Amino acid sequence: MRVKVLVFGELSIHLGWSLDLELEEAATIRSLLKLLSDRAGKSIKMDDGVTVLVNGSNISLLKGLETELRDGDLVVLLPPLSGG
Amino acid sequence: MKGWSGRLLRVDLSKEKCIVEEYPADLATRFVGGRGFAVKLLWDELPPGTDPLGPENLLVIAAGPLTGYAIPSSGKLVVASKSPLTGGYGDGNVGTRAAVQLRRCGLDAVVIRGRAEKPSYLLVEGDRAEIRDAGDLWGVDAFKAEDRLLEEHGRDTGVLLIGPSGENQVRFATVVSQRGRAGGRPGMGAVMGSKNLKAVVFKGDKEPEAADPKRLRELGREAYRVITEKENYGFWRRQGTMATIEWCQENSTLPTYNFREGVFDEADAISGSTMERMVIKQRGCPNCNMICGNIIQDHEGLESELDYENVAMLGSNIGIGDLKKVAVLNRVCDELGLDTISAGNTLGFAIEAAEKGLLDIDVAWGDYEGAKRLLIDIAYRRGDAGRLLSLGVREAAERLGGGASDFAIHVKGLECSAYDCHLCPGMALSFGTSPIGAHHKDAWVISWEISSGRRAEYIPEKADKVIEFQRIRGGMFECLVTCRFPWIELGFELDWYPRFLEAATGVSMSLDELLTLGDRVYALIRAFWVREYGGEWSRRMDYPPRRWFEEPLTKGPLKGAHLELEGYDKLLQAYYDKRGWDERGIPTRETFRRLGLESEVRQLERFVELH
Repeated sequence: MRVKVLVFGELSIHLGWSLDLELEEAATIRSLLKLLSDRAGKSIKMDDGVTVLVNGSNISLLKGLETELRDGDLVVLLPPLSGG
Repeated sequence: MKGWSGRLLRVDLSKEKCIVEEYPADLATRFVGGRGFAVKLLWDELPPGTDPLGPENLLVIAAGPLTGYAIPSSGKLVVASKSPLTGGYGDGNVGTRAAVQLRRCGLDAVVIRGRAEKPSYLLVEGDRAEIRDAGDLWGVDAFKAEDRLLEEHGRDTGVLLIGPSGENQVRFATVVSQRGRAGGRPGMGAVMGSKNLKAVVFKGDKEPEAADPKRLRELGREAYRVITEKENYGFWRRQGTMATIEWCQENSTLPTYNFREGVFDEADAISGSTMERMVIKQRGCPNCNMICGNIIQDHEGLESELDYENVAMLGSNIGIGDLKKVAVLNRVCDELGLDTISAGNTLGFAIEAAEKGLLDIDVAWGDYEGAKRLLIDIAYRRGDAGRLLSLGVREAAERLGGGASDFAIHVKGLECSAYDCHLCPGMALSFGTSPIGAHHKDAWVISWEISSGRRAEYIPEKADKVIEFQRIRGGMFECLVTCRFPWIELGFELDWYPRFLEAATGVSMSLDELLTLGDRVYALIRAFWVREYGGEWSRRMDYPPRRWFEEPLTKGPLKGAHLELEGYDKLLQAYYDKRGWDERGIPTRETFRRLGLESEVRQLERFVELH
């Protein structure tokens, strides 16, 4: 299945802003983050304050890291922003 | 005294007198500097009920014991007075050479009262100060006026000044410097204007004497290096605060159409990524290697320094999806000395009022030309609409009637800054309890709140977090006076600050004592508000705008979201409980005692009964 990933903040330096990925059928956020960590060359962890949204919803409101992905989903990775 | 100069300058513009005096040592040990000095001086010396635009109001300019040294981001000062916009305590923070030069004059603060007979400026050179004629600067925009002053007094002097909107006493006119640095949202610029004071120029020649200058220099060098090595430094240098546009859009917190919505169709066009492609220059405050000022060429071909707040309030909040046009509006505000946040908020209010047939102006959502015209009318208080809107949204709405107060987005009379809180109760609490009215500086909890995944909940941890951030951001940093960005943006550790302070002053204050200072300052600021408002004070003053409770979002992934009044009541109560304030939001006698403010608040009981 295909998912689109938008990356914001510092991670975009390693991953680019926008990725169209082909994932295995049973992909979850956990497996996606592992794939992205490998690609970025650094581990992407929830406890670093990274916010993950699937189709606009924070994964903590879904199934956390075990949230299943479906074809056409939009995943957004946001840094813990503090500015303003 | 080391670190602190121990001296402040008192200026009486009516009597044309300038005197340098030594302040008592316990002002420094109890209040440290900056906002702490400001509220203490205003509490002691400003009679309650003073007209904020009258000659008796005091304008305080205050640095702190770390200001001006070669340590990260120490080029900042506080400007404070009773606010003509809110009627309560008002202040702001400006990153400017004036902060460094004030300290090089051997001063920590300036207190200005009275009114000059004609347009004047104050020149402070070392320990001498002189009131000078500003006849040919009055009416000149803030960029040109500053250029002239720098030409006359030297390019490295520090200048604080007002633009035409301050001269015209627009209620949200700010004190500005260096083409785009500004502070004093609640009308500190109007206070200067009411005193016929166009500018304050500082020109000093000696760095304040530190207790251990060698150690302070070493710490500074090490600190700058540590900052550049932080993981987020590279990305920060690319977009500064503008990365927040996309972040807010994704989280439905980007203020849109007068805080009606949290998502904007054209967010991409005003985003940090868009800005990155246009940046021609970067600028920072003195002694800072964060360099957060990103400058682009605007729609009129001129330079405009962009920040998240300016772009969201003058962009998505009024429906303008063109960064170069937003940049013109931003620059026009800077030239005129208008607070960009209140300006964007007031424009949003005006457009909505026009839409509802309450205000007779020809400006619509996304109408760049109309917005620009109206901004200029506001700055010059021209026309019925210009004059009305120059009072700020709370007052404008009251005068308009017709339900306009329902869409005046402010707290305590200060217009909300750029975070739509339909589904962010913690950030709403932050706005509700910010000490100058709705402002994000003190407790920017929105990122923590959303990352936690519990944004819809009304848990007491949110009140704890607001207080934690207030102690650090609105307390410690506003008193040391250094910028909070290295810490909050990059993770530069807080325990550097007690070390800087000890090297500068020889005084050892633990981090906990510096944070308790924050509690002390907040309690005294609250006392100031209560003394001014008297019987009219109530906990309702700590509530966020009605819109977030009663008009759910209609767009985006959070369609239908809104705040819950019962939930907010509980959060606010948790805040009061944690702070030791009573159900009216007034510190108890015991809290004042615990914070060492017994003598200060003795007279407060003439105005209100303490619990």
